[in-house]
This record gives sequence, C-alpha cells and structure tokens, in this order.
Amino acid sequence: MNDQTPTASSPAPAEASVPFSVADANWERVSPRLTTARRIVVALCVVPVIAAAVVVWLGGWIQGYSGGWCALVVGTAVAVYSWLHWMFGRRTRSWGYLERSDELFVVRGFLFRRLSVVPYGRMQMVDVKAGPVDRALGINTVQLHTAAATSDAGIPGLPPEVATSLRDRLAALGEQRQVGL
Amino acid sequence: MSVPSAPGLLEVGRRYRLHPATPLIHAAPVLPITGLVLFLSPALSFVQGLWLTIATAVVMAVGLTMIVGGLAYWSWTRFEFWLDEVGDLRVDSGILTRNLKKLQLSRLQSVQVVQPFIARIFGFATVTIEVAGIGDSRAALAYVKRDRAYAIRDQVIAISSGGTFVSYGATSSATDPTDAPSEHTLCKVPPGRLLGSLVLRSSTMALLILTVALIVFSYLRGGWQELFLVPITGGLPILIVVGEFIALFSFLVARSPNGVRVTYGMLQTQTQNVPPGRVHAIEFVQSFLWRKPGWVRVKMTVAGSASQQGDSNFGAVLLPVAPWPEAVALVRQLMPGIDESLGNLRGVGDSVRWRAPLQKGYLGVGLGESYFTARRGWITRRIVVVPHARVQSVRVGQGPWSRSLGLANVWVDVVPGPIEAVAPYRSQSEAQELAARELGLSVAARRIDRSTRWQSGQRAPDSDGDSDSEV
Repeated sequence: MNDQTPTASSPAPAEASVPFSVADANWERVSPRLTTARRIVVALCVVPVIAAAVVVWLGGWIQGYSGGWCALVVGTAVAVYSWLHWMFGRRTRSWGYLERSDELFVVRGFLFRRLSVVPYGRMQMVDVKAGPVDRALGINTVQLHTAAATSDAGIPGLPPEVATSLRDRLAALGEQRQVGL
Repeated sequence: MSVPSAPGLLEVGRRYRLHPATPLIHAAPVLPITGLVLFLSPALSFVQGLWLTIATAVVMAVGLTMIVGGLAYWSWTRFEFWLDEVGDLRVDSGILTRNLKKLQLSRLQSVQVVQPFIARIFGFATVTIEVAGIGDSRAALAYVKRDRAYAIRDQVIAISSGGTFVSYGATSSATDPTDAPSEHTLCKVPPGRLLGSLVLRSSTMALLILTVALIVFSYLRGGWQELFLVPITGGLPILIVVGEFIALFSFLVARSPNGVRVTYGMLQTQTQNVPPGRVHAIEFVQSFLWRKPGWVRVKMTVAGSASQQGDSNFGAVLLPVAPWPEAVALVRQLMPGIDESLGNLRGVGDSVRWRAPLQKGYLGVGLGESYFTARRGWITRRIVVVPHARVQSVRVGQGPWSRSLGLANVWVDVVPGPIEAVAPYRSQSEAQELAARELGLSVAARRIDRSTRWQSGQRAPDSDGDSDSEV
C-alpha cells in the first residue's frame, strides 16, 4: 500500500469512515414483508410456466407421446424459483438505512453490496411509491432523487406510516439545506 | 415590427421577430431536392419526353416549395420573442397550437449558436437556449443574422450569470467572431493532428486490423466468401473517421468574457459556450496508440447538456486531441489549481493483482483541496476530475470477486453526462475512509462555492436556509 497522503488535509470530516455492512452500525431495517412481496411477484411469473408445462405433458401423455422436456422445464422453473426464494430473504435482510446529521446512508445487497450516501442538501425530490403487490402487503418504497441519475438511493419495504414520515423528514431537510447544483 | 438585423441588444419589453429571410432559408433546400427526386424517380414516368419530364418536375417542385415557403412564412408571422421586465426570455410560436414559453434565464443551462450549412452561406445562425426544467425547457431562434445571434447569446449569458445587460461586443464587426480581439485563443487543433488521432484510435485500429486479417485469411483459404465483410469492416472506420473529422474540423477553444468558448465544424459550425460553474466533471481519455505521442481527448459533463445530445453528439468534447500539458493548461481555465502532477494520486494495494492485473499500476485516486481525481483504464486510460462542490452523492460498491480480495469501488455521482467518476479496487477500509472524506469535503466545498454566479460577485446561496437555489 502506497502511503502517500493526498495534497490537502480534509477540513474536518464528520466521520473518519462510513459504515458499509449491516453489522457496522445501528441501521434501520426494512420490513420482512418485502421478501414476501418479491416472492409473490416471481411466483406469479413461474406458476403459469409450470402450469403450461404440466398441461402440455398431460396432453402428450394421453396421446402416448413422451414429454421429457416438460419435466426439464418444470425442474428449471422450480430451481430458479427456489434460488430466488432464498435470495430474496437474504436480500431483504441486507437492506438498511441511517439518517445522520448531514446525509442519508442506504446499504443493500449481499452478492453485490452497495452503499449510497446522499447529502440532504443534494436531494431534489422524495417520492413514496407502491405497486399493487406492495400495496396489498402494506409496504412502500421511498425513492430519493438528486441531480445525478446514478445516485440510486431508494428504500423499499417500509410500512406506509414509516415511509410517509421518512419522506416528510427528508423533504423538509432537503428544502432546508438545498444548495443547488 | 422590428427586424433584428443590426447587431445589438434586445430591448426589454420590445417584441422581436426572426429575420424575414427565415421562410426562404427553410424553403430553399426543398426546390433542388424535390426537383431531383421527381426527375429521377419513376413517379413521372407517365410524361413522355425528356424536356416535358424536366418541365413537369420543375413545376411540381416549385409548387411544393411554395407550399413549404408559405407555411414557413405563416409560422414566421406567428413567432415572436422578447425580454420581459423580470429579465426572462419569452418565446411565442405556433400556427394552430400556440406555444407561449417563458425561459427563466437565472436557470440557464446552455446557449448555443449553430450555423447549419445553408444558413451559414448567407450569414444566418440559430440560437438555442436551454434552461433547467422538466419537459420543453428550450427554445431555438432560427434564423437570425449571425452578429445578432452572438449578441443575443452574450446578453442571455450576462443576464443569467448575474451581470448587467452589457454586450461584450466582441462579435459586432469581425466577420469571424472567433478572431475578435477580446477573445483569447487557448487551444487550436491542427487538422493533421485531428486526423492522426482519429486514425490511431483503438476502435479504428481494431476494425482496420480485422479487415487485414479477413483479407489474409480468405487469401490463405483460397475462397473469397469472407470478402463481403471487407466493405463493412474497412468502410465503417473510414466513415467514422471522415465524419468526425468534418464535425470537429478547425476546433478552437477561446477564452471569452462568458467562460470558455468552443467553436468547430467544417460544413456546420457549432459554437458552444462553457460557463465555468456548469462543468461538473472533466475526463482525459487516452487511446492505446495515443500514449506514444502523448495525446489525450478532454471530455466534459456540463449540467443540462445531456438533453441536447440529439443535435450535437460532440457537445461533450472540450478538446478532441491535444498533448497532455496543453490539455491540462486548458482544463486549468475551468478548474483552477489542476496541474500535470494531479496532486500525487494514491495507488492500490497488492491484492488488486488478482482482480485487475493490467491496470494495477495505473489505478489511483486523490482527494485534493478542491477536486476528486481518479485514474483508471487498461487499453484506454482515463483520468476523471470532479470538483468536490459538484458531487451529488457518494457510493461504495463491491461484487463477490472484489469482496473475496477485500476490495471495493468508490463512485462520486455527478449530473448525467458521458463521465463516470469511479475509483476502482481500493481496499475496503480505504474505500470507507475515502467516502467519508469525500462527503466532508463536498459539504465544505459547496458552502463556499460561488462559481455558478461568477459574474455577480455575490455569495452563492449557502446552506443556512437561503432559498435562492438554482435547481
């Protein structure tokens, strides 16, 4: 490791380091219902595929064809679903957010881990949104927008009252500290 | 009704029209094109004899041209623009559907003067003005006299940057505005170097090598089936090189009272003004074969320009090719304090050998007083510079491969544009520390930043609840 210090010493950063994993800090977590919601969406895609394969196989069986490839389709669909089923559980547990004095921290992902930090003064808009499955399960997504398209800090799986109050807090902080581009 | 033909300022409250020749410029190209198409196409095959065919084609082309001209004239009579009392630009247009626009100049993103080929012959130009906002937040004044176009641009920039309604007059008498004395030339790209750089670019080289390989391969095999690909692999790079050569021909960067001005183009001349406060990121790009001559291309991300990529693909190019010291000297005009050493970048640890062995020695990051600087790249090398004051957010990311080596990437997010600012493959603890430092630096930097209103001398809105924010 090259230990050259950069040209200027930083003018008093708030923290020496940012937390990166859910173990590092006292993160706010998202609702486990997020897992259910994601699993339902995938199931809605997988079940028709399995059903169609079974129908084709039954039809072939009655007429005396062998339908080995149908078993392959069903097997693949089940395998993909099982993997996603497990992954959504892990992924939900990897989400966390943290409201610090100057910035919002959002951490997520377990295969590909990401941390997004958005200073309140850079927020241009905060949305709350929910799709039909999310609405049925009572979870919302809070989406932050900055002038950069890549900031990418949304928090899914929040109960509606948590989502609305978070949005209001963030919007108020954003307005108060708005610094333009 | 005034005709904006003389160079000069727009008077507040007075309504202006586009130049009366506008309908003619719109209609003029229709005549030869339709005439030729009608003559060559089988549409007139019912007419007997050459002369009769020509006569019919001419009559029909003239008719069509008159229809187009009439519509253009009608829309000309319905197009008005003026400066209102609060210093905003108003544009009313539309024949059937009226479109009344109010462009708030304090939110100006860009002003461009474009001279399309035909308009340029007769000394006309288009002024395109874009302000921050959602949807249709731009207006094109096509056409006005070239001098008028430059005057409008200067006035609009002056108003937007908090200055007074002063014309900089640099363009009033000179035939070529770029030769005007008050503009100090910073960089010129000689045609030879431009052509050389385009030919030596990795993409061109790859296609040319592929072409040669195809010819050799089919010769050795004795069959010639592969040769049908040769016009594609050989022709494509020629097309790209020639196209870009024409588009970026006689590239000139000059300092103007309004920031840095970029002018380029062989057939269609583009003039783009780059206000210093609107540059959110700079990138030096070096293709593999540019290392020997030491050339780099300089790209930039300018706020609000992502939406206008449609009419100029080269809006992101600050300098197509220049030797490294010259490029750095130019960037210093927009980002004071940048020097060739880039302020001692920090390299990466040994474990990067297992992740990115070929760029390991080149990777680097530096958090200077005012800038985030990162270096990366294997075949094509890139150096990105982002002012701390322009950082919108910070991200740290890690995939499975990097995690097994304890590495992570640090991104600083800037407004949409061609530049990705990332410091790849830092050790994880260092990445966390870099992100924290960058956040501290960016908060501190934008508190004192006033580059977006660099002419007014007033303080930029600070973080203590000042509502005079720009976006």
